[in-house]
Amino acid sequence: MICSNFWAKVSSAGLCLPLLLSAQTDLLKVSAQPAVGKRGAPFVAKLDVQLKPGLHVNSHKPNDPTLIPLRLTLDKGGFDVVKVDFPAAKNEKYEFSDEPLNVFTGNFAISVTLKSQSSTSGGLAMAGGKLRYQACSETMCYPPKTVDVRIPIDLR
Amino acid sequence: MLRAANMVLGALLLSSCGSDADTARAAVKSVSTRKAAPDFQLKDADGKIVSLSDYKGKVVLLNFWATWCGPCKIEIPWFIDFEQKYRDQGFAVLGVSMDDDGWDLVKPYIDRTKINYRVMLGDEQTAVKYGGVESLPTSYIIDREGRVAAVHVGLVSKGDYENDLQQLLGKGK
Repeated sequence: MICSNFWAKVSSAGLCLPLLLSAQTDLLKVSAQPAVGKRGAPFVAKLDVQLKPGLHVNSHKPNDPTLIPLRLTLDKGGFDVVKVDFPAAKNEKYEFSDEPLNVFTGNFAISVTLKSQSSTSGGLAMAGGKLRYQACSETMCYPPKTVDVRIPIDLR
Repeated sequence: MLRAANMVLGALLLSSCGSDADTARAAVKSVSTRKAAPDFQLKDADGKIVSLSDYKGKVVLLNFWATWCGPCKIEIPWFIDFEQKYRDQGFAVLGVSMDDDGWDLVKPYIDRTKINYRVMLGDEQTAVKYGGVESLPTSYIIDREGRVAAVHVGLVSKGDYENDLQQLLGKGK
Protein backbone atom coordinates (compact mmCIF):
# COMPACT_ATOMS: atom_id res chain seq x y z
CA MET A 1 0.00 0.00 0.00
CA ILE A 2 1.29 3.44 -0.86
CA CYS A 3 1.36 5.74 2.15
CA SER A 4 1.18 9.46 1.51
CA ASN A 5 2.11 12.31 3.78
CA PHE A 6 -1.32 13.71 3.05
CA TRP A 7 -3.09 10.78 4.64
CA ALA A 8 -0.54 10.47 7.43
CA LYS A 9 -1.34 14.05 8.38
CA VAL A 10 -5.07 13.74 8.26
CA SER A 11 -5.28 10.50 10.14
CA SER A 12 -4.78 10.90 13.84
CA ALA A 13 -4.19 7.15 14.05
CA GLY A 14 -1.46 7.39 11.44
CA LEU A 15 -3.55 5.15 9.17
CA CYS A 16 -2.50 5.20 5.55
CA LEU A 17 -4.94 4.94 2.66
CA PRO A 18 -4.15 4.25 -0.96
CA LEU A 19 -3.44 7.31 -3.07
CA LEU A 20 -6.04 6.19 -5.55
CA LEU A 21 -9.00 3.89 -5.12
CA SER A 22 -10.05 2.06 -8.23
CA ALA A 23 -12.39 -0.66 -9.33
CA GLN A 24 -12.85 -2.21 -12.70
CA THR A 25 -14.71 -4.62 -14.87
CA ASP A 26 -13.20 -6.19 -17.95
CA LEU A 27 -14.42 -3.22 -19.99
CA LEU A 28 -13.95 -0.18 -17.78
CA LYS A 29 -11.89 1.06 -14.83
CA VAL A 30 -12.91 3.85 -12.51
CA SER A 31 -10.49 5.54 -10.09
CA ALA A 32 -11.11 8.16 -7.43
CA GLN A 33 -8.50 10.53 -6.10
CA PRO A 34 -8.74 11.47 -2.42
CA ALA A 35 -10.91 14.54 -1.92
CA VAL A 36 -10.91 17.15 0.82
CA GLY A 37 -14.15 18.66 2.06
CA LYS A 38 -15.52 20.82 4.79
CA ARG A 39 -18.43 19.50 6.84
CA GLY A 40 -21.74 20.83 5.60
CA ALA A 41 -20.23 22.60 2.60
CA PRO A 42 -20.22 21.40 -1.01
CA PHE A 43 -16.92 20.10 -2.34
CA VAL A 44 -15.84 18.44 -5.56
CA ALA A 45 -14.48 14.93 -6.03
CA LYS A 46 -13.13 13.63 -9.29
CA LEU A 47 -13.52 10.22 -10.87
CA ASP A 48 -11.26 9.08 -13.68
CA VAL A 49 -12.80 6.58 -16.05
CA GLN A 50 -10.75 4.49 -18.44
CA LEU A 51 -12.64 2.62 -21.10
CA LYS A 52 -11.09 -0.26 -23.00
CA PRO A 53 -9.84 0.86 -26.43
CA GLY A 54 -12.32 0.39 -29.25
CA LEU A 55 -15.35 0.70 -26.98
CA HIS A 56 -17.78 3.51 -26.31
CA VAL A 57 -20.35 3.96 -23.56
CA ASN A 58 -23.56 5.88 -23.96
CA SER A 59 -23.37 9.32 -22.39
CA HIS A 60 -25.58 10.35 -19.49
CA LYS A 61 -27.97 11.78 -22.09
CA PRO A 62 -28.00 9.44 -25.10
CA ASN A 63 -29.73 10.70 -28.25
CA ASP A 64 -31.75 7.54 -28.54
CA PRO A 65 -34.21 6.85 -25.69
CA THR A 66 -33.81 3.08 -26.08
CA LEU A 67 -30.14 3.33 -25.10
CA ILE A 68 -28.98 2.92 -21.52
CA PRO A 69 -27.37 6.08 -20.10
CA LEU A 70 -24.23 6.37 -18.00
CA ARG A 71 -25.42 6.79 -14.41
CA LEU A 72 -23.52 7.55 -11.22
CA THR A 73 -25.11 6.93 -7.85
CA LEU A 74 -23.34 7.64 -4.55
CA ASP A 75 -25.50 6.55 -1.67
CA LYS A 76 -23.08 5.23 0.93
CA GLY A 77 -20.84 6.94 3.46
CA GLY A 78 -23.04 9.82 4.62
CA PHE A 79 -22.85 12.22 1.69
CA ASP A 80 -25.49 13.82 -0.52
CA VAL A 81 -24.82 14.32 -4.21
CA VAL A 82 -25.26 18.02 -5.03
CA LYS A 83 -24.55 17.57 -8.73
CA VAL A 84 -22.72 15.38 -11.19
CA ASP A 85 -20.80 17.02 -14.02
CA PHE A 86 -20.06 14.75 -16.91
CA PRO A 87 -17.62 15.96 -19.57
CA ALA A 88 -18.91 17.01 -22.99
CA ALA A 89 -19.86 13.84 -24.82
CA LYS A 90 -19.06 13.24 -28.47
CA ASN A 91 -21.58 12.66 -31.23
CA GLU A 92 -20.10 9.69 -33.05
CA LYS A 93 -21.47 7.96 -36.12
CA TYR A 94 -21.30 4.18 -36.11
CA GLU A 95 -21.99 1.76 -38.91
CA PHE A 96 -24.87 0.25 -37.00
CA SER A 97 -26.71 3.51 -36.39
CA ASP A 98 -28.39 5.88 -38.82
CA GLU A 99 -27.90 8.82 -36.46
CA PRO A 100 -24.80 9.80 -34.48
CA LEU A 101 -24.77 8.52 -30.93
CA ASN A 102 -23.86 10.64 -27.91
CA VAL A 103 -21.01 8.72 -26.30
CA PHE A 104 -17.86 8.73 -24.23
CA THR A 105 -14.72 6.98 -25.41
CA GLY A 106 -11.21 6.49 -24.06
CA ASN A 107 -10.38 8.21 -20.78
CA PHE A 108 -12.68 10.80 -19.27
CA ALA A 109 -13.34 12.41 -15.91
CA ILE A 110 -16.56 12.87 -13.95
CA SER A 111 -16.76 15.59 -11.33
CA VAL A 112 -19.19 15.06 -8.52
CA THR A 113 -20.11 17.72 -5.99
CA LEU A 114 -20.80 16.22 -2.58
CA LYS A 115 -22.00 17.57 0.72
CA SER A 116 -21.74 15.74 4.01
CA GLN A 117 -24.96 14.84 5.78
CA SER A 118 -25.47 16.41 9.19
CA SER A 119 -24.89 13.05 10.88
CA THR A 120 -21.53 12.49 9.19
CA SER A 121 -18.63 13.15 11.50
CA GLY A 122 -15.34 14.66 10.41
CA GLY A 123 -12.15 12.75 9.71
CA LEU A 124 -11.54 10.08 7.14
CA ALA A 125 -14.63 9.06 5.27
CA MET A 126 -15.53 7.08 2.22
CA ALA A 127 -18.33 7.92 -0.19
CA GLY A 128 -19.49 4.84 -2.02
CA GLY A 129 -21.79 3.96 -4.86
CA LYS A 130 -21.96 2.63 -8.37
CA LEU A 131 -21.34 3.66 -11.95
CA ARG A 132 -23.72 1.96 -14.36
CA TYR A 133 -22.73 1.83 -17.99
CA GLN A 134 -23.49 0.06 -21.21
CA ALA A 135 -20.65 -0.36 -23.67
CA CYS A 136 -20.48 -1.27 -27.34
CA SER A 137 -17.86 -1.61 -30.03
CA GLU A 138 -18.46 -1.05 -33.74
CA THR A 139 -19.94 -4.52 -34.05
CA MET A 140 -21.26 -5.67 -30.69
CA CYS A 141 -22.70 -4.50 -27.40
CA TYR A 142 -22.17 -5.70 -23.87
CA PRO A 143 -24.97 -5.99 -21.32
CA PRO A 144 -25.27 -3.10 -18.86
CA LYS A 145 -22.82 -3.40 -15.99
CA THR A 146 -22.10 -1.62 -12.76
CA VAL A 147 -18.74 -0.95 -11.19
CA ASP A 148 -18.25 0.00 -7.55
CA VAL A 149 -17.12 3.55 -6.88
CA ARG A 150 -15.35 4.57 -3.66
CA ILE A 151 -14.10 8.08 -2.99
CA PRO A 152 -11.78 8.59 0.00
CA ILE A 153 -12.57 11.91 1.69
CA ASP A 154 -10.79 13.95 4.32
CA LEU A 155 -13.75 15.68 5.92
CA ARG A 156 -12.70 18.62 8.04
CA MET B 1 -19.64 -19.69 -8.01
CA LEU B 2 -22.35 -21.96 -9.41
CA ARG B 3 -23.02 -19.50 -12.19
CA ALA B 4 -19.33 -19.40 -13.07
CA ALA B 5 -19.22 -23.19 -13.15
CA ASN B 6 -22.31 -23.33 -15.33
CA MET B 7 -20.80 -20.80 -17.69
CA VAL B 8 -17.66 -22.89 -18.00
CA LEU B 9 -19.79 -25.95 -18.66
CA GLY B 10 -21.81 -24.07 -21.25
CA ALA B 11 -18.68 -22.79 -22.88
CA LEU B 12 -17.20 -26.28 -22.96
CA LEU B 13 -20.41 -27.70 -24.37
CA LEU B 14 -20.24 -25.24 -27.20
CA SER B 15 -16.47 -25.11 -27.35
CA SER B 16 -16.26 -26.15 -30.92
CA CYS B 17 -18.30 -23.06 -31.74
CA GLY B 18 -16.19 -20.78 -29.63
CA SER B 19 -13.21 -20.52 -31.89
CA ASP B 20 -15.42 -19.75 -34.83
CA ALA B 21 -17.22 -17.13 -32.80
CA ASP B 22 -13.98 -15.20 -32.51
CA THR B 23 -13.83 -14.77 -36.23
CA ALA B 24 -16.77 -12.89 -37.56
CA ARG B 25 -17.15 -14.94 -40.71
CA ALA B 26 -17.54 -18.41 -39.28
CA ALA B 27 -18.34 -21.00 -41.89
CA VAL B 28 -20.81 -23.80 -41.42
CA LYS B 29 -19.12 -26.60 -39.52
CA SER B 30 -18.75 -30.08 -40.86
CA VAL B 31 -21.46 -32.41 -39.54
CA SER B 32 -19.01 -34.48 -37.49
CA THR B 33 -17.91 -31.46 -35.43
CA ARG B 34 -21.36 -30.13 -34.61
CA LYS B 35 -22.61 -30.29 -31.01
CA ALA B 36 -26.22 -30.51 -29.89
CA ALA B 37 -27.80 -27.10 -29.29
CA PRO B 38 -28.99 -26.89 -25.66
CA ASP B 39 -32.75 -27.06 -25.35
CA PHE B 40 -34.63 -24.30 -23.53
CA GLN B 41 -38.15 -23.31 -22.58
CA LEU B 42 -38.94 -19.61 -22.80
CA LYS B 43 -42.15 -17.62 -23.04
CA ASP B 44 -43.01 -15.70 -26.18
CA ALA B 45 -44.93 -12.41 -26.36
CA ASP B 46 -48.24 -14.29 -26.11
CA GLY B 47 -47.15 -16.15 -22.98
CA LYS B 48 -46.74 -19.44 -24.86
CA ILE B 49 -43.82 -21.70 -24.00
CA VAL B 50 -41.31 -22.10 -26.80
CA SER B 51 -38.85 -24.99 -26.74
CA LEU B 52 -36.00 -25.37 -29.16
CA SER B 53 -36.85 -29.07 -29.39
CA ASP B 54 -40.19 -28.10 -30.96
CA TYR B 55 -38.21 -27.04 -34.01
CA LYS B 56 -36.35 -30.27 -34.65
CA GLY B 57 -36.44 -30.95 -38.37
CA LYS B 58 -36.08 -27.25 -39.15
CA VAL B 59 -33.08 -25.04 -39.63
CA VAL B 60 -33.21 -22.46 -36.84
CA LEU B 61 -31.53 -19.09 -36.55
CA LEU B 62 -31.42 -18.45 -32.80
CA ASN B 63 -30.63 -14.79 -32.23
CA PHE B 64 -29.82 -13.27 -28.83
CA TRP B 65 -30.46 -9.52 -28.96
CA ALA B 66 -31.67 -6.51 -26.96
CA THR B 67 -33.45 -3.25 -27.70
CA TRP B 68 -30.42 -1.30 -26.41
CA CYS B 69 -28.08 -3.06 -28.84
CA GLY B 70 -27.45 -1.01 -31.98
CA PRO B 71 -25.79 -3.75 -34.04
CA CYS B 72 -28.69 -6.09 -33.23
CA LYS B 73 -31.10 -3.63 -34.82
CA ILE B 74 -29.20 -3.81 -38.11
CA GLU B 75 -29.68 -7.57 -38.26
CA ILE B 76 -33.37 -7.74 -37.37
CA PRO B 77 -34.66 -6.60 -40.81
CA TRP B 78 -32.45 -9.30 -42.37
CA PHE B 79 -34.01 -11.91 -40.13
CA ILE B 80 -37.50 -10.68 -41.03
CA ASP B 81 -36.51 -11.16 -44.66
CA PHE B 82 -35.08 -14.65 -44.02
CA GLU B 83 -38.21 -15.72 -42.16
CA GLN B 84 -40.34 -14.61 -45.07
CA LYS B 85 -38.07 -16.08 -47.71
CA TYR B 86 -37.17 -19.47 -46.22
CA ARG B 87 -40.12 -20.29 -43.96
CA ASP B 88 -41.54 -22.73 -46.49
CA GLN B 89 -38.25 -24.57 -46.73
CA GLY B 90 -38.30 -25.61 -43.09
CA PHE B 91 -36.66 -22.61 -41.53
CA ALA B 92 -37.47 -20.47 -38.50
CA VAL B 93 -35.93 -17.52 -36.74
CA LEU B 94 -36.19 -17.46 -32.94
CA GLY B 95 -35.32 -14.20 -31.23
CA VAL B 96 -34.28 -14.18 -27.56
CA SER B 97 -34.39 -10.72 -26.06
CA MET B 98 -31.96 -10.11 -23.21
CA ASP B 99 -33.67 -6.89 -22.08
CA ASP B 100 -33.84 -6.69 -18.30
CA ASP B 101 -36.97 -4.55 -18.47
CA GLY B 102 -39.00 -7.25 -20.17
CA TRP B 103 -42.02 -7.05 -22.42
CA ASP B 104 -42.78 -3.39 -21.62
CA LEU B 105 -39.85 -2.52 -23.84
CA VAL B 106 -39.73 -5.50 -26.13
CA LYS B 107 -43.37 -5.75 -27.23
CA PRO B 108 -43.53 -2.18 -28.59
CA TYR B 109 -40.27 -2.80 -30.42
CA ILE B 110 -41.65 -6.00 -31.99
CA ASP B 111 -44.73 -4.08 -33.14
CA ARG B 112 -42.75 -1.09 -34.40
CA THR B 113 -40.31 -3.15 -36.45
CA LYS B 114 -42.99 -5.64 -37.58
CA ILE B 115 -41.00 -8.68 -36.49
CA ASN B 116 -42.57 -11.72 -38.16
CA TYR B 117 -40.84 -14.43 -36.13
CA ARG B 118 -41.20 -15.62 -32.55
CA VAL B 119 -39.46 -13.60 -29.89
CA MET B 120 -38.98 -14.81 -26.34
CA LEU B 121 -37.61 -13.15 -23.23
CA GLY B 122 -34.28 -14.65 -22.31
CA ASP B 123 -33.14 -15.60 -18.84
CA GLU B 124 -29.84 -16.31 -17.18
CA GLN B 125 -30.37 -20.06 -17.28
CA THR B 126 -30.70 -20.05 -21.06
CA ALA B 127 -27.78 -17.66 -21.49
CA VAL B 128 -25.57 -19.93 -19.37
CA LYS B 129 -26.52 -22.91 -21.54
CA TYR B 130 -25.25 -20.94 -24.51
CA GLY B 131 -21.90 -20.05 -22.98
CA GLY B 132 -23.00 -16.94 -21.11
CA VAL B 133 -23.93 -14.74 -24.11
CA GLU B 134 -21.45 -12.10 -23.00
CA SER B 135 -22.08 -9.82 -25.96
CA LEU B 136 -24.85 -9.09 -28.44
CA PRO B 137 -25.80 -9.87 -31.09
CA THR B 138 -24.96 -13.54 -30.77
CA SER B 139 -26.60 -15.93 -33.19
CA TYR B 140 -26.57 -19.70 -33.42
CA ILE B 141 -27.51 -21.41 -36.64
CA ILE B 142 -28.91 -24.81 -35.83
CA ASP B 143 -29.30 -27.62 -38.32
CA ARG B 144 -32.33 -29.85 -38.83
CA GLU B 145 -30.98 -32.38 -36.33
CA GLY B 146 -30.75 -29.75 -33.59
CA ARG B 147 -26.97 -29.29 -33.79
CA VAL B 148 -25.08 -26.00 -33.81
CA ALA B 149 -23.79 -25.54 -37.33
CA ALA B 150 -22.47 -21.97 -37.03
CA VAL B 151 -22.13 -19.16 -34.53
CA HIS B 152 -21.89 -15.46 -35.19
CA VAL B 153 -20.84 -13.14 -32.39
CA GLY B 154 -21.22 -9.47 -33.24
CA LEU B 155 -22.49 -7.90 -36.41
CA VAL B 156 -21.66 -9.82 -39.57
CA SER B 157 -22.99 -9.32 -43.07
CA LYS B 158 -26.37 -10.44 -44.30
CA GLY B 159 -24.51 -12.42 -46.96
CA ASP B 160 -22.67 -14.43 -44.31
CA TYR B 161 -25.95 -15.48 -42.76
CA GLU B 162 -27.52 -16.20 -46.09
CA ASN B 163 -24.61 -18.41 -47.17
CA ASP B 164 -24.95 -20.45 -43.98
CA LEU B 165 -28.70 -20.80 -44.35
CA GLN B 166 -28.62 -21.78 -47.99
CA GLN B 167 -26.01 -24.41 -47.26
CA LEU B 168 -28.08 -25.91 -44.46
CA LEU B 169 -31.43 -25.64 -46.18
CA GLY B 170 -30.09 -27.16 -49.38
CA LYS B 171 -28.68 -30.20 -47.60
CA GLY B 172 -31.80 -30.77 -45.57
CA LYS B 173 -34.32 -31.01 -48.37
